Amino acid sequence: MSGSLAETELRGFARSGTEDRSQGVSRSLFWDTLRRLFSNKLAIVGMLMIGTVILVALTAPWIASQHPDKNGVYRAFPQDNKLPPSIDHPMGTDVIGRDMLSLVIYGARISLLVGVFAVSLAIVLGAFLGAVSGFAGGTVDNVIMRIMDIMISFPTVLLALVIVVILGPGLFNAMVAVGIVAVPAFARITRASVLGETGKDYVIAARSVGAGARRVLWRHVMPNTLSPIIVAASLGIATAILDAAALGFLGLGAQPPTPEWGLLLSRNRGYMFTSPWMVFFPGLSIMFLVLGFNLVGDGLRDALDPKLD
Amino acid sequence: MTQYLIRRLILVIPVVLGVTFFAYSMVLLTGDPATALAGQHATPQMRAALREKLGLDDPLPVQYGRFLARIAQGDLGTSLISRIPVATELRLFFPATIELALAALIIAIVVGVPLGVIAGYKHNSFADLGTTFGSLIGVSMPIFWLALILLWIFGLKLGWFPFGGRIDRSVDLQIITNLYILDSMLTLNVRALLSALHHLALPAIALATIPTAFITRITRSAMLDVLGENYVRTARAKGLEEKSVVSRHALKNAMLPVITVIGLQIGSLMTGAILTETIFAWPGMGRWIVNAIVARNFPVVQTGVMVFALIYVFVNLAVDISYGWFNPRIRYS
Repeated sequence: MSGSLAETELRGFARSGTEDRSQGVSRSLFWDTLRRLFSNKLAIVGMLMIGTVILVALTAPWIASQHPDKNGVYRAFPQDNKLPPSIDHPMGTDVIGRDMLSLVIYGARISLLVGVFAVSLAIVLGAFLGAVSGFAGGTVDNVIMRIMDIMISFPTVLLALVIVVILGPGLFNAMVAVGIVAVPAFARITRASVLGETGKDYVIAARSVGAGARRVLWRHVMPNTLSPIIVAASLGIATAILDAAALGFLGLGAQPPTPEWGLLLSRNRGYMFTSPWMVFFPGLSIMFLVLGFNLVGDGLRDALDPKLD
Repeated sequence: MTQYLIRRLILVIPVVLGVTFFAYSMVLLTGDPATALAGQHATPQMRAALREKLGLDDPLPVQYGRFLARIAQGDLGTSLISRIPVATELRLFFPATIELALAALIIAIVVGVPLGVIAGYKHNSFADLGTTFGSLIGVSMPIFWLALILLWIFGLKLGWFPFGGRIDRSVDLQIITNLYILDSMLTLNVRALLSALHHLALPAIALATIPTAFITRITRSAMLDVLGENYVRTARAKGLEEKSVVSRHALKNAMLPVITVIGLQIGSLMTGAILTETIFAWPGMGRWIVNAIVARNFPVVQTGVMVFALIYVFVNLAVDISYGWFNPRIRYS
């Protein structure tokens, strides 16, 4: 790791030279990035938004008034089940009298899980393919990247739909499908930054002291390609949540009675004109969480790329 | 330039072949077409006979070769549900999607580029922050939700726009290209034109949201990059009017990344079309394919998936070529 450490320090040095010299302390890239991130107001807003959703997801059993698997209070006439927002039910109730707020609270768990799982899958597969592609070059590179070109040509939701039909509908398969769809983006990003790093001195140094290709790639090159991947991961979680919600909306993602936000929206779509709250709040929740990840992703990009200052 | 053109065209061949192969074989993975065709009461013998007849027992490359040969003759198979040739249905639904996507793209460019220029020019101003935050909200919204909200406000509450469809039933329109806007212009049918635009407005606005946000963001950052360049300083130093500096020097150079993003937006437009069409009952390809996927209508899914991907491939080819045209350095790299 000596090569990558030296590189990091060099970057830190270059940075402390260009801006606030007053501190004069050499910082690591990590702390430098963190400091920049926390000086970005929009990124802080984003972190607070994500934090809120995580907190809601963790405390769901205590703050929700009703478990999503339970029906609400049945009333004699079905139309009486759809209660508009009130103090008892701040987001109203759905067509079978379930408290919308409770559904939305439990839905937070699903959307967070979907986003993190899908992107983790995409990073593992995409970073591996991209790293091998960029490092090996030649035919291997050509074959892998052409396959990625082909995959990226299909509209994401359409590709995810077909994958879900192959695997069978359901939340887990939807997460896998959304993850696979995101693989090419991560492969391209990783490849580009691996290509950018391999020519650098520390790689040549590592090679010249006899490190094998595998060691050079995973121990020396990869740690230095992390920043674009981290940025892409944050923005990718946002996209993954939207894609999974779209699958749920089309009926091929999570299945009832899972309180997945996209599914809630689609199940209640028929009552849109009489009881708009049933559609409004799940969609608003999706937007809230996705916006949080987009804000943090943007902030991370600015923090990791000093050029933009 | 010719050499660059030829090189790009050669590079696209494997991608086109790959896309068609993917579309063909992936759909076969979703289930056995013979089962879907023969129906649930068919005996195994009937299914086997059907498989034999359809050539489904042949090796995949052989089947794929036959698929390509059929396409070359303009035969895309027959829809399993409607029993209408897929090519006929495609001619019906494809123009509807193109009309919707083009309208959305035009809105996105007309709104997004000026917003981005203003935000980039007035960096860190209130307008900049507003635009940045607004465009982030734009990319964060689930498009099907936005479409439903638009429909609720402008369709139900205000009653300004119709709930779905492409044109009023009472309007006569002579169909030529199936692009209603174009057809009504060609036949000088003002009533049909107004009705078609009236129906197009809401879905196009919903579909335009995400591309608008992306174009705004990329125009803003491209403007920021360009405004810091030496040639902009030179232009100012030699006393050019600010208006001319921005429009002739900065904007022109900032457009390159914007064009790339517009090309990449085609993919998200197609994804958006799938969802928008579902909500606005727009009789286009998106709705057609989703219904076909659910119904295991193999020939339709194969064609639809393939057409969507090929649109993306060729639009990005055009973007690449225009890029080489604008920036000679790219041709030689």
